Amino acid sequence: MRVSERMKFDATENRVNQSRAFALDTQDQASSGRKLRSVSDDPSGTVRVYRNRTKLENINQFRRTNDYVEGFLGKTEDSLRSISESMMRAKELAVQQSNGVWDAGSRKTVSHEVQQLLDQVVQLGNSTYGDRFVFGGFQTSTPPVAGDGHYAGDDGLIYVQLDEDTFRPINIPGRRIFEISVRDHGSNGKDVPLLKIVQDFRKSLESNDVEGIFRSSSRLDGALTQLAEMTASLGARRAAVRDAAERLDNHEEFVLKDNVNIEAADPVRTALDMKRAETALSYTLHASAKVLGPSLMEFLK
Amino acid sequence: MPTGLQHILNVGGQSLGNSRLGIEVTGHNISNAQTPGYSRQRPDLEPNNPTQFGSLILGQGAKVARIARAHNEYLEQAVRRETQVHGKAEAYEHNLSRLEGYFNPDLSSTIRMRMDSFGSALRDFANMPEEPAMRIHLLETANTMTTAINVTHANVSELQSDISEELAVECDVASQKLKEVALLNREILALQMGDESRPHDLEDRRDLALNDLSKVMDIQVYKDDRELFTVRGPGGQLLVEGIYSSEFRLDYDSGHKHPRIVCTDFANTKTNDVTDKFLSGKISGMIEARDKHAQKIRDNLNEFATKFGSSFNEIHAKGFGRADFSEFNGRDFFEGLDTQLEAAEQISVSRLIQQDTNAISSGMTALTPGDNVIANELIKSLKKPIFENGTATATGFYDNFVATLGSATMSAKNELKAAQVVKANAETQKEKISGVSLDEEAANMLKYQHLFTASTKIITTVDEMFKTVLDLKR
Repeated sequence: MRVSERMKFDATENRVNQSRAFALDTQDQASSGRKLRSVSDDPSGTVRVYRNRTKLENINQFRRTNDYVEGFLGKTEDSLRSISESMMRAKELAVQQSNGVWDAGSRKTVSHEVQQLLDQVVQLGNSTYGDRFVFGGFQTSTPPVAGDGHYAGDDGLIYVQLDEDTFRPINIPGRRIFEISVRDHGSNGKDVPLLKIVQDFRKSLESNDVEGIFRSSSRLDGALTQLAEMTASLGARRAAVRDAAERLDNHEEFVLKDNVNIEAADPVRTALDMKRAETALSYTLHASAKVLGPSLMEFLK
Repeated sequence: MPTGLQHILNVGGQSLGNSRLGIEVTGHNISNAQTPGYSRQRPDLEPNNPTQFGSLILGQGAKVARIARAHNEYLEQAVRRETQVHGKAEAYEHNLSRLEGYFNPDLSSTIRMRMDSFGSALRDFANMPEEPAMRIHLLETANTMTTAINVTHANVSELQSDISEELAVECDVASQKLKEVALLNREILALQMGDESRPHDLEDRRDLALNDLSKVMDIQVYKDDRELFTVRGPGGQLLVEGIYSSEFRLDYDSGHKHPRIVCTDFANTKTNDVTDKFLSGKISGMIEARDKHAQKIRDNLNEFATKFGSSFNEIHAKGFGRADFSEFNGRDFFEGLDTQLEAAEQISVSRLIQQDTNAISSGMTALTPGDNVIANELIKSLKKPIFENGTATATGFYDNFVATLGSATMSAKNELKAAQVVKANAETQKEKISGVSLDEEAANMLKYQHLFTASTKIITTVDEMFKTVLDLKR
């Protein structure tokens, strides 16, 4: 085979370029620690990385949401429990005062305590978390429970996204608490609001109406049962939120690992590649220096 | 009387000339050992016609019949073909790599990342629609997202106009080379004297010009009976015939989205749109990147902006805002979604929302500050499959077109690698025949030097013989 001058030089140039390109590439991989440096390195991997990054961003978000929801539910539960306790006290008083041993005077005194309980429940009904009234439905900026026990909120359920596919309501609209449905022969088939029950109870105490006190006692019973049910359902919701948080942690670990697999360069392999590139380059240069030089010209004298 | 001492002296003299010519050609080869496109030359020695001398037929020494050029037309053609393929692959890969750079997974400013932040801000907003800070955050992320769309669109269209400018340069290069070929045709016509004496160096230069032209576009070369080249280009367009050549230039007023490439006739009176006729060479790679891939991305971005924006608006318009806007609905979130225009260039958050974030809708009903039904619907709309006939979400659509671009770039890179190998191979084949080897030239030099020495010996010998003959008289 004839080997021309240009062939010799072109071939050398090509070989050196190839070695250099390989060396540069491994160097780039080693210094960036990444094997995915452009979409075309791994198109489907890139898309997976994109999606995983979205997931990670969302996971962080859901975690923030979770913290908030947990706080909101906690506050709701605390308020609800305090309301229950107040009602429990009212119930105690009703049972106690329906007994014949008490006279009008003592009942009047007790009515003051009931008034206090009433005020307390109104206050609890206007509990806030952050700047939001927790029992107002969507009416989160105005106090949902008026002094007279009238509910001014609405029935809005605030849904919040807990993870990719789950939206859950985090609030209990106050109507379910303050317009509790207790029906008996004195309510004319209508729902009697919670605070009306307490107010009626107080009035019965003031007017020494034993039968009224007795009825209040049974109505308070009904109200308590419903409050208990609601507290229980809140507890279940909190548990669900905690579950979701745990799932997020597991998922995050998986997603991170997947991304590392696609994006990150394997350090051992990169180190070996670097060594290989170095060897290849130095051999190429050595060989080129030896091959390019001599020609017959130098040996003819 | 062809024989005698005088005759031997003539043979020796001619041989002296032959060896001098040999050295001269060798020198020419050596000095062109690194000249691109040069084909090595060699003197073809031939014995002179013999003559009859009595009953004998005597040789008459040697002559240089011609100076031959080590050249193979078919290898030349192969090199041209592979140069075209390589030119296309190179330009195509280069521009696709630039294009995919705008979607690099390292970048945090991509539309994709901004979408994620926007979704995140939207969820924060849905969690607390009463909170002004959440609204402001949502507006900010929406602004960075629309900016990312605008910027990406601008990048892609800038790339397209960059390519157009480069095309103008390539057209100039091509026109220049065509002129050169026609000019060389003319010079070759003037210099050549039959088959035996050809202007090899001019022919080499003409081949080189055609090779340069092959980098730019696909050409076919035909030789006429006067050894002149006729060159046909994309779509059979006549580019060079004899001493005439046509020109390429860019037509900016064709009414197309991008400037078109036109080719003139020899008289420069008519033009012919050849934009879509390039099959290989740099120009075809550039056009494919500009009109196919970049345009596809641009169309996709526009579709992305329009569909995503209007589906978002549709839900947003149902909702009520906060404060001054708590009793009114029917507002858009995004504007600039006109499908007739470039939506990706125009899309932005509506001016009303820019002025007052309370205009962002969150609730389904009026006067409900904590109502987040619409905000939740907006979150869900991000996952609605509104693209590709209801099969892809906004991010899915984005992922798909980026992955498509990535795959195209990947195969472009592989094609380029293959084209490089094949081209280098063809060039090596050609070089094997045509290239200058210094070893060989060294040997030739020695050969002709010895020949020269030997030829002088003949002359001195004859001289002595003359002397002997002249001495007879004394």
